[in-house]
Amino acid sequence: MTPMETTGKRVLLVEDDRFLRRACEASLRQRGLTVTTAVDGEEGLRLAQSERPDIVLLDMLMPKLSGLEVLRALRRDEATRRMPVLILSNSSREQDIAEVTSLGVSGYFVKSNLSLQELGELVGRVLAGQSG
Amino acid sequence: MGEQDAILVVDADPEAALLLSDFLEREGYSVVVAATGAEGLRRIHEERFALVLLDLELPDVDGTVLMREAGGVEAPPEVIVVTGHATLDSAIQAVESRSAGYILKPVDLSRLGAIVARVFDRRRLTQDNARLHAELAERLGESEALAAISATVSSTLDVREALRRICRELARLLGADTVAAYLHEFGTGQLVPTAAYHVPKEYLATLSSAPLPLKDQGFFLPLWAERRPVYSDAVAQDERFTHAMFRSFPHQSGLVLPLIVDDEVIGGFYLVWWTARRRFSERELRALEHVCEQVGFFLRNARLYEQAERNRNRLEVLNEVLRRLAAVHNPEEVLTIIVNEAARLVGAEAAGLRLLEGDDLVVGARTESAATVMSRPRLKIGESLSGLVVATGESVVVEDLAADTRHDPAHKRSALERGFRGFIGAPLRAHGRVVGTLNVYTKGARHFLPDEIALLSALADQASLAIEKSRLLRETEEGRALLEQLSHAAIAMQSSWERDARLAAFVHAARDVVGFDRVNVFLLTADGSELELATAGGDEEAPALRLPVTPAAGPYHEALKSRRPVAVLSDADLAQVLPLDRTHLDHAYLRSRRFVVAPLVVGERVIGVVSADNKSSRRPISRQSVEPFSSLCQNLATALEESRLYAEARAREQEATRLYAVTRQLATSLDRERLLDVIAEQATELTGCDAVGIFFYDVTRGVLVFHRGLHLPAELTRGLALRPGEGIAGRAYQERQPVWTRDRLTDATLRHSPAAQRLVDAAAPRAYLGVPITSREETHGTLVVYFFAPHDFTTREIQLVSTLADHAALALENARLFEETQRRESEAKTLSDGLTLLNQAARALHRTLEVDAMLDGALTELARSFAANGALVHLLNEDGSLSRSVGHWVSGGPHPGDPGRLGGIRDHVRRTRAPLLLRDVTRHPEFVHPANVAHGVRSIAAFPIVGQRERVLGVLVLYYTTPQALGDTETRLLTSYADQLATALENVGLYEETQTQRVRLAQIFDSTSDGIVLVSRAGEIQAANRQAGELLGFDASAVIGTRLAALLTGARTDSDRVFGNLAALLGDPDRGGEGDLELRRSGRTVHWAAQPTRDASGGTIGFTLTLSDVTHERQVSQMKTDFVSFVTHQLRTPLAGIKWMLELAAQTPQVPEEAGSYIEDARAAAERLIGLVNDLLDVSRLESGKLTVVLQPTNLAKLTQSALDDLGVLIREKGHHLSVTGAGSVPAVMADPQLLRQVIVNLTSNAIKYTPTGGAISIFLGVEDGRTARWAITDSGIGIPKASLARLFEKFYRADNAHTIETEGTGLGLYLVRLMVEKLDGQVWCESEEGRGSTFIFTLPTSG
Repeated sequence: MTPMETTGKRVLLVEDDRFLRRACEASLRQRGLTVTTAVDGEEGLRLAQSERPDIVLLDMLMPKLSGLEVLRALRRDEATRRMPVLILSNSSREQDIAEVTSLGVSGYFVKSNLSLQELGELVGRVLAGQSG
Repeated sequence: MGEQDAILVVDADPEAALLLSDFLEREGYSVVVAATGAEGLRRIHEERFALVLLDLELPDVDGTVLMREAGGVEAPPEVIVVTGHATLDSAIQAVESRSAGYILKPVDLSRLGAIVARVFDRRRLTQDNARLHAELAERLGESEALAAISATVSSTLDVREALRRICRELARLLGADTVAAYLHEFGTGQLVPTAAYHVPKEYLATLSSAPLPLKDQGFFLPLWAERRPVYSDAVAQDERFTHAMFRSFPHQSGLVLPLIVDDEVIGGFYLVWWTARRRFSERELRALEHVCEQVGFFLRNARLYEQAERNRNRLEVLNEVLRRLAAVHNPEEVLTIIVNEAARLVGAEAAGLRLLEGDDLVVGARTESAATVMSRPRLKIGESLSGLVVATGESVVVEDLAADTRHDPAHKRSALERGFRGFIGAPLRAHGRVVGTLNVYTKGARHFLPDEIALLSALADQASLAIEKSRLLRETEEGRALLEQLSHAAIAMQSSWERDARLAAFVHAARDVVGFDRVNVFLLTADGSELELATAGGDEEAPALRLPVTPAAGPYHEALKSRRPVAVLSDADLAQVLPLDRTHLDHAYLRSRRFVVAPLVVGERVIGVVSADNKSSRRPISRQSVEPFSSLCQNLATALEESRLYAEARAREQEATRLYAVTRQLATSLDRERLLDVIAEQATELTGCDAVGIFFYDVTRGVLVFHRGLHLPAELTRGLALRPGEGIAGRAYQERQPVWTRDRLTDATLRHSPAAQRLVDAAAPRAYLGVPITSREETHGTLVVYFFAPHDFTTREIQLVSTLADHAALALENARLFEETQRRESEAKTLSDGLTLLNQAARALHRTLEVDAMLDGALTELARSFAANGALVHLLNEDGSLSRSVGHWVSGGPHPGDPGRLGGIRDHVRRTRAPLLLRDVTRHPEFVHPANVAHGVRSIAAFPIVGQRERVLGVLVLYYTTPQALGDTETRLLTSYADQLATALENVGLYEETQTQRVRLAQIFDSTSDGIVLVSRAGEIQAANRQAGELLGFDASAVIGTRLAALLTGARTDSDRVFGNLAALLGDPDRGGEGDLELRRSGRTVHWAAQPTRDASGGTIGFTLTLSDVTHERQVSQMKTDFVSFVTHQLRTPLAGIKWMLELAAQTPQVPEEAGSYIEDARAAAERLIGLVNDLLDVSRLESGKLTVVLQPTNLAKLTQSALDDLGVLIREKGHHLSVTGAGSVPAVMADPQLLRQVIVNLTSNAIKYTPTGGAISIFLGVEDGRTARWAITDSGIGIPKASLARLFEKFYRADNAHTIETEGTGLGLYLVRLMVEKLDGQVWCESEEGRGSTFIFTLPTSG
């Protein structure tokens, strides 16, 4: 994988914690991706539907609309049904994981267990798989 | 084709018509042709045709009309349609009008021929059927008529009526106008009209009453011989019906039918048709013959009935005669009735009977009218008709006497003169013999019917019986009078029991009944040697007269010996009897030349003789009087015997009464001394003796000692003792039988000792009777009665005294038994009292379970019951040593049972385990403590108290200050008491033990921190401890017996499900269960667990509910959950933020080297914190059980390799050498791969971590057994100290030497490993030696 392949791809980052949002956004931009951010689920859903990003990084526990509800809404809508979503959660509870993955996601990760390096590679893999 | 009907051809076309007619005529049919429809119609109506060939197309008439008309006539012809224009319509019309055929023109003649032939065949068949049908109907009519006749005839049994009904039915059957029935009269040979039907009035006399002479009739032969009906349809001209009668009622037709009964023509019917000419076909005539036979059958029944009726009437008459005969006993009257009835029975004008007297037949009775025909008073057997009857024993029947030659000529003459012609003589029989004849005479010749003769015979038989009966009656009557008198005499003899009264009655009877002037009764004396005159002819005073029982007594002796009366009624008789010895002829009573001597016999014995004569009146003695006299003597004998027996019985009765009185007297007392007085008194009373003495045998002295006397001087009896065999008393005793002497002065057999002799000599008694007093085969003494004057003892007296002695013996025996019984009773009472006391004492024993108090009270009672002065129980220890003593000794002071004293008795009893009875304690110094003697103890009884397993629990000791000989009873009682004591003591022990246990259990029950509720199977609370009450909010002491369900309803929370579980538990205690109760009222959470409670046999009797307050635990648990949530959401987010920021910082270009290293350390610290959080989360989830695992077959080797790949960097960093063996042989395991991976990673990273650089790490995979896989990792690390090994898998535990290698461990790693392995149903452990490395092993179930 080279930066060339993912350059210009649009990422929608839905994350309420500003530190995480900043770190994540910075890391992804360094990788040449176009990052749009949303601070809560509502905004995230709206942007996902209007911007049609190439991938959505979705937090689970958020104000206004939880990540799970956002995911459900996306999967209900034909336009966003196949939109790749990576779940970045704090919970490692099996139930949570099972519930989300059953709706169809590209991955479920506990943020504290994930390095930005790893995240970047993950996003890259997902985008590459999608285009290739 | 003969008579067959013709064929009509209707066709307007002459040519066609001709063709058809020619053809048909050739075929043999007759043919008529109609050229027009009108002509066809006319012919159809006027003539008969079998077939019409019809062309439907006619100029003048519609062919179909013609067809319809043809179908409407009588015997309609068949129609064949012939048409030149075959149309569907015409074909349909042809079919609808059932035409027989449909032929097209030009006509196919052969087909026509076939059709016509078929039509004719069918028509013939139809006609045959019709004829057969008509015949059948006729037959049916005949059967119905017969049935009707049968019904009408069987409803009557009167022949005349039956005939009338048959006439009616014949008229109906044959359509006759009038019918008359005739019966043939045999005597006259005439046909006599018997019944008729529908006879016009004017011919009533002719048809219903005029007889016809049978043989004169022209139809006699066919009717009588051939039994055929004869008819004429022109009677007036018919020569067979020439009798005037047939002319007297002019009629056209007549039919004579035979009337046949039992295969015999008995008459006929004549059927009349006034105007019709009635002819009969052969078949009709045959049917009529059949009817005639049937009619005969019906009639026969009626005739049989009539005959039976006649017989019945005659039998009734006979019966009536017999009844009248039975009511009459006078022989003359009987005979008169017989002859009158005989005449009446057969309707005869005269009757009479002759009876056999010797060889002669004598007229017994006759009707007045028979006087002339039975004029000869006597006839010989065989003489005349009567003689013939008797000679042959058969009835003689003469229908006309004029033609008879056997009759007595004189009789015959007078009979014929008076017009008597008929005769029947029937024999009279008695006892199988002919004893006479019963004759009847009728005027005019007479044909006697068999049943008349039989009836007369029957009457004769009955008459014989009646005659015999009346004869017997007369004889009996005479005998009865005599018997009655004799009977009166016998009764008179029995009117008194006195002998003399009986004799007097006999003498009267002999005079009055038998007619003797003088009667003498002699009775045998007691020794049977003489006859003594008892009464003489009614004289006031019989002289003393005796006859010897020798031939000298002449006829008296003879009567006595032969036991038969001797009758001397003539000189010849006198010459034959043995004469009375002369010496006796002095007595006037014995002198007689005409007399009867009869013996008096009772059974086999002769008790005397009676003589009777008519000496004073000199009347001759009738021979007939001997028998009654003998009989009277018989009665006398019986009466005298009775009288004697009566007197004897009276005497015995009186004796028995006296003896009874004695017995009663004897029975009034059971006191021996009083009895002796009674015996003496009674002896005096019974025998009238002067004095009485009673001796008893003294076993010790061997002599009979005088015991009691009456009216004997004291100096005689004082000290009187007789040896057995000495004197009367001694002899009676020795010989065991009565001994007596008439007078002791003259009796040389009596022997006395000199001393006794002196006494006897001085005494008044002269006559002695001694009887032994014996009971139950044993002689006790002698009863002696004395008379002061010489006395002959009679058998009765001896017997009486013996009986008295027997009674006395019995009474004395009773007295003895009574005394013994009383003694036994008193003994039994002692025993019973003892038992009562023992029971009381025993009850005292069980009243309390405090040993000493119990024993103290019980021993006081016991001492009192057994009149002891003191009672002690020494209680022993297991080893036999004295524990303590309880009770009261004879004094208040220290008793000899005290510890430290000698324990002689106690030890002895303990060893022997048997009672010890010391009657005199002074004789047993070896046992008895001197203190006892000093305190006045004389007797001691000691009993072992033996408990279970033969252990001697103690010794019971009773002390007496007087010498005591304890009897068996007391010993038994006290032994039993000691047993009771043993039981009581053991009970006390058990009770104490139970109490202790109970208290202990109760303490445990109440001291446990959990609440405990015991619930019965029925759901009732049986026990609840304080804590349970506090937890559930009830008073623990007040809920016993309450239903658990009711209790819980009070404490109900919102969690119905929990209560559901509990309720289910109530229904099935066996299932157990647990759960939480959240009690809203107290706000607490109570955890309950239920276990079934079982009894000794393992049956469930309820359940035990354990309750614990888990409020706090549940709160902590909640806090844990909250903590996990906190960690998850509040720690991880900032941690991730730190981690990522540091990562960004590290990537920032131009970071100073030092700052770079700080950032790296900060990252490592953050990673460690994140690891710790992750471990904590895992632990929390595993501990709470909230972690769900998905077990699936997992390849252990592959998973291991994958984990090692992840750890590759670490391994390489430390330069370890790692090997994996057995990867190929391990089977798949059932596991959650995620968890298992974590286990492998944790264990491997531990091995890496705690092994110094360049170490060796080996992983072994293998199989434990078929169902278990094994995974082991061995390192060459620092090892684990022994002390740590056991706690290695505990939470937060770290081995003591762990810090030497690494200080960053959390102490959660191995704990997590254990939790995870156990979650996967596996086991994990460690084998290690400090300094030599460790091996960690886990096992997991395989998927197979």
